[in-house]
Amino acid sequence: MADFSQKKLPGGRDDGAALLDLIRAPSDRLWVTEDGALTIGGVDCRDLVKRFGSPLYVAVESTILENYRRIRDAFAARWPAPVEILFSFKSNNNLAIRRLLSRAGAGGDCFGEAELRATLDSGADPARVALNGSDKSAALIEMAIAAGVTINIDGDDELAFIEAASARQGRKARVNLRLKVLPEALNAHFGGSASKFGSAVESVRRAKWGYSLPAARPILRALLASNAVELRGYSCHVGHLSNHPEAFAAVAGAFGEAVAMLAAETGFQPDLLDLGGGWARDREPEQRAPSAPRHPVENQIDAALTALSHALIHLHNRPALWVEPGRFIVGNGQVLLATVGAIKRDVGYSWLHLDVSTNNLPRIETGAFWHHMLPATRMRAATGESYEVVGGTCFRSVLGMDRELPVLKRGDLVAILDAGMYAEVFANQFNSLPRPAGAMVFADGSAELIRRAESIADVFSHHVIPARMDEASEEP
Amino acid sequence: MDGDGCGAALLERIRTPTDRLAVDADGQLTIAGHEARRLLQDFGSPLYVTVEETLRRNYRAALAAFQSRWPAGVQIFYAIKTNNVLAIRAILHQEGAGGECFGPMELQATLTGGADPSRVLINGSDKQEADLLEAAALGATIIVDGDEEIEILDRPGLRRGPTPILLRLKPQSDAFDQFSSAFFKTDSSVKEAVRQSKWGYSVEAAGGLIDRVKRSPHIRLLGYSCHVGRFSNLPASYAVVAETVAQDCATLRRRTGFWPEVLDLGGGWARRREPESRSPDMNPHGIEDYAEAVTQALRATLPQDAPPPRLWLEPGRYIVGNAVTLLATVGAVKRDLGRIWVHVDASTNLLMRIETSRSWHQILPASRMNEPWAERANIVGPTCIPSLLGEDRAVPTLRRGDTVAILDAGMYAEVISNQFNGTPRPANVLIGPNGPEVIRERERFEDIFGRHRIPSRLQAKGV
Repeated sequence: MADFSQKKLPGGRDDGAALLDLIRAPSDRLWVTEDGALTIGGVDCRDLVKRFGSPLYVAVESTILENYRRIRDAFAARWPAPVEILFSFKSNNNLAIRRLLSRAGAGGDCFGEAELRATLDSGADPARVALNGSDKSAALIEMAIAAGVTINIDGDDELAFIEAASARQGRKARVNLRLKVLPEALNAHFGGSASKFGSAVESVRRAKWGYSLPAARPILRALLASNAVELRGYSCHVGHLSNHPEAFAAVAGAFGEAVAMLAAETGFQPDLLDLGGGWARDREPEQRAPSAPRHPVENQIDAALTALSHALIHLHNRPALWVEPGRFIVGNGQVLLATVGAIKRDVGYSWLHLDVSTNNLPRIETGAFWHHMLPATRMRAATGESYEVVGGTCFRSVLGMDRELPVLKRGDLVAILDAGMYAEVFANQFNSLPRPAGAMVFADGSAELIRRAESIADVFSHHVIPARMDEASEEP
Repeated sequence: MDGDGCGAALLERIRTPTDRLAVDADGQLTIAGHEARRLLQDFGSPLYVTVEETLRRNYRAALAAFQSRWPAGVQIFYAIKTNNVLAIRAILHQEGAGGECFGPMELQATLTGGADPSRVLINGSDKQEADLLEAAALGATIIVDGDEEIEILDRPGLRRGPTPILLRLKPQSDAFDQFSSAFFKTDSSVKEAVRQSKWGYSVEAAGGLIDRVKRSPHIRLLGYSCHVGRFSNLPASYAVVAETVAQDCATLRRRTGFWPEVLDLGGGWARRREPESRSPDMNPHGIEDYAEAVTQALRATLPQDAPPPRLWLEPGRYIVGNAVTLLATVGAVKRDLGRIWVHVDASTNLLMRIETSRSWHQILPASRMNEPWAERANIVGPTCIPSLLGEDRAVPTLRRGDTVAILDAGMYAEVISNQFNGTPRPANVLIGPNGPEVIRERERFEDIFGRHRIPSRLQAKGV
């Protein structure tokens, strides 16, 4: 197993370019110029920052599209019935990225009115859109039926909401029933940022999503009896608990067994199964360490579909599959560029300040993510100093501890990889800091703004000071 | 079930002197006299509710606790990072609070809230040149925490008279290690966690900087600042910081001859009911205990032959912590596998400290305060992460449409909130002498997506 840490590199080279060669994922579009600058999608990082400002999220069109096609093709090659890829909007809600994926044919996984509206506005085909959520409102259900998307049912009240809306609109709702599976085998393959809530099975059991078999039975009977629904099948999403193929097999196998049991009991033959997301990537900050083993997504899919197929052996037909990847498609699809500010050396440490903070990568705070960082303007300079890489905010804001980098100076650029998932969508404005801009680099080497930077007006635009406070200070 | 038996009994046990929470004849929670459910009807759900009187009383309590114990002078600088709502800043200005700021945005917000620039402190370990020059020109005091800052400020004509600065010290004491380091995420002792943080200078480094500053006619060193923040609620932990800084004052006087006229001991002053303790237990210590421990440590450690410095403090959480309550409405209730999930329309998006440091918030069944506990439920937000607001909480039987109140939502809540899952952030209403007034408007779809741009090449249909 290769050591991906920034500490020891094989082959005697110890610069950013050598590290990049070691950690480069197939769909990365990251290269190094002769004078040692990182290029993203073929564009020099210095030019990107000059044009769009710093800090900057840089999305790469061809990386995102290659990731989408790779997971689509990997499923299609291994399943006899149709497979649709539903991009999980929650992982990155940028409208240009969503639009790019809609044009490529991706459906969508949405939560709530805003995500549903944005996904549909992007041109996604409603026939390939799933609405998730454990607390859907009557208004949201009404909107989903009107749009013709599929509702993954996950609450006792939802059928009543559907029946009322269906009667008003004169059309049926397409639905799946969300199941909860608790395969003991999952416990062996559990780790990384998901391990906040105890063992894998306990973590899934205590999560709010899905129905166990005993709870699913009465809801299934009600759905089968209702004239307001077109029951298509089931959904099951455990998410990224591990990157081991065996973990995905455990979930898919248990899901298949539950589906088969319900088919045997009720005769209901599903024509659709939604397998959810969480498919692991080649390089994963969520492993909390630099040297995570690689499990290509094809291996995860192989294992999952073999287990699923085995469990469904007695069904009349293989159902169509929906898959809801988010991180797999956008994870390495964005790089966060930042500029070096103050460098402080004292008591045996060197603190390297960047103009980004954990505000912009909150999963470092919530899930102990470990992101690779490249010395983007000194990629060919030998490693020379160990830094605490920090944001300037009034939190510790440690972006990376004890990182070996070349000796850097104020004004240098640093590239933080894998900033495409659960980064901007969780970003906050702590210390009243505006959130950065985003740009997209296209396959032809051009770049365009896809998210403008916030201003102080954006941070405070919703605040109102009552007029009575305008009066001069009156000390009591 | 818990000994309290019902929401009203729980509230009796956990109410602090400056709370304005009560239960009316209908069994409804009231906030400063206004029924929680009525506030949601009038202003929408979820809703942050701020109580003006609580803010003012907290400010006065902190000031009085220290003033009565430190005759050399005490001044309070509100840490706007904990809650940047401009109306809150304006109220504290009326009370006479100065301001502690980070960066140009917080400075502008502090001044918009009315603060006098000469009573403003500028913190930050990576201040930008333009921001430093602007703050100095306005008359603010700069808390120097980077070598380059002194070079930038060492120039004539920035303002009338030299620019006042404090030097930020990094306290290092073996006495830190008598306290649990569980609050830090560094897997190290408290002493090492403080050493490893980006803030402050060791005594060795500070000595050189003082010599450098003394040569400049454009900078006036007032004294030292030191802020470790709350890593424990034991008064002795605060005393260790004060004692260490006092020792550093003496050491640096021997080395450089400089004696401070100001000591800024920062913020992080713990409250009686504090989610950051990660437990439901009330803190047995009040602000007087911290003031006593700290001023005693200073008196015992500062040399007797030098005039006692004035004391500056930067409380944030102490002033706003319990002044804001987050109200939410119950949605779907799910029962399966022996567990109960009660969804509310607020999520950890709005209380991110639950996710980042396991804050434990008291949650009251605001619309059923007198109903006996019936079961244990998990109070969850609806978002696509577990969003566990409260686990295994004793509750009466809650139904769709009920109101719950999450206490102590004043600190590090709105300022680190996010819009995950495309969820707009709620409004905030202030209850003051004129009744409820909106001080922060609710977000809409456009506030989440308004900055996104779809390049024209992606506008055309199909690939």
